Amino acid sequence: MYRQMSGLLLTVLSCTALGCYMSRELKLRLFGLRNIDRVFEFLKGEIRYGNAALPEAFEHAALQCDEVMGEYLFVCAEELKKKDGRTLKTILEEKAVLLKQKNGLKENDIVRFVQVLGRMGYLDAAMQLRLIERGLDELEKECRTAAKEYQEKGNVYRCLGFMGGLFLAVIFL
Amino acid sequence: MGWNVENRETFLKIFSIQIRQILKRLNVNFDLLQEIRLRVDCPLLITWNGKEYFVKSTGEITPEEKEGVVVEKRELMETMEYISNFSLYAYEEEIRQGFLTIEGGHRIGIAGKIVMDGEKIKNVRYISFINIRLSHQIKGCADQVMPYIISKEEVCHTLIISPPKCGKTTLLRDIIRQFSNGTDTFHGRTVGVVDERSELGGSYMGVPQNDLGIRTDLLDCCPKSEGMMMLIRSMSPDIIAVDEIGDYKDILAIESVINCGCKLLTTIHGASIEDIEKKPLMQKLMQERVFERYIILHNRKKIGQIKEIFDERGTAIYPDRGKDVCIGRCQACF
Repeated sequence: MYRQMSGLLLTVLSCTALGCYMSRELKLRLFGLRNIDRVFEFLKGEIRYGNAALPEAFEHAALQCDEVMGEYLFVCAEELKKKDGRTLKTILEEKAVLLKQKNGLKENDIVRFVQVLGRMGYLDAAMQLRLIERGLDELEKECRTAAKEYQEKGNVYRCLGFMGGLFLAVIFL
Repeated sequence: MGWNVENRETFLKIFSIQIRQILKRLNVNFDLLQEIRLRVDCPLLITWNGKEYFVKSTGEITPEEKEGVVVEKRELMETMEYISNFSLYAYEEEIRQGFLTIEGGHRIGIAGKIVMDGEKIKNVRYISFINIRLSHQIKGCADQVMPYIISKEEVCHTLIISPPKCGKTTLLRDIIRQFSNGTDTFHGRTVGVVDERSELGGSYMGVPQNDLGIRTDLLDCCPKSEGMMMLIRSMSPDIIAVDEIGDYKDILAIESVINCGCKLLTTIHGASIEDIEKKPLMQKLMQERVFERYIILHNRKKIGQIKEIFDERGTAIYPDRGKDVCIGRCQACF
């Protein structure tokens, strides 16, 4: 009896944890998108007011971001300084693997982020700023969708997890 | 700048991989290397110790054009990408002027297709010609000039006149350093430097890479006219130094500097005092005897030689007229 009860309890707990995990993934993505937003804002400031070159701008922005994004930008800045024949786009794409860890961003989010950064570096500062603005606009839409998704699905996942656990427990009984 | 392995490596990073490999093998003394020229579909050219040479793919230099390695367009584009740190936009203003300065104070001249915006130059596209002029810091090159620009323990307002590539920036840099540090007979003064093109200090992220002395404050990438006034207001310098004066705003700012009691050290393009007198903007300053010393450089026999030194009345005070004094950019000096 005692063993049966603990088995049922474990089933309920693990299903609830699964629901919470799914909900947390949504939250993490939202957090990741907001981080990208922050990067764009910092880059905008670095270019507009500091007239900084990309390696320098990346380094400064890296200090203001979370660990994962900060590391990505910092590594990219270091790689750019090597000037070893690779283009900006190649470096950004190569190092994008760092973004795939622990930040809940979807593959698509990362591709879009890298695409915007990869198009930078040409012509005048105004063009760079327009490019970032466009990236920010798209990101804002994405953020809104992600926030809505989190609000709607976050609770559903948690409840479903718990209810699913209970359901299984009842079946096992 | 004395060339060691480290700063040579750093400098060579501005070139495309292929050109970098060739220049790494270049078996010449970099202290005497003055220019590196890249032109699309033309041989790689260097000016070394006052003479032009082509560079072979092995890194050897040759006077034979046919043996020189030809620079391709994509190499030039790659080089431009590295020069600008993948960020051409950050050098928009400099590119419009036709040159930019990189870490170490080296000047990169560019030419290509000009894009106009009304009557103004908007940008340079299809950059097809690059001229890299290497900056050299030669400590002590102003030793022989110093006694002539100090009078009764006071610094004289000094104008260095020389055609391009005669070492006026190098000389001014060492004069600044010596006035700032002081010498056995002269106590150091506070020097304010307005380094519009980052050539004097060769600053990187605001820190001068060249030694400008311990009492020097530097405004990097700042227009001369605004910079001179800013320094007077903020740093109260005894001496203000600027490179290559020319337009009317500079002249107005110079008048303010003089009236504030600061001493002025500056340079201008020209070959003689007569050349400078012909410049309408300079006439007034010369008539008012603003400058107390005129140092004229030339490179007839060797680069960076003092031709003459005049006082404010135009009297030659350089004692051994006709005898050249080297300011340290010839082979014998290394």
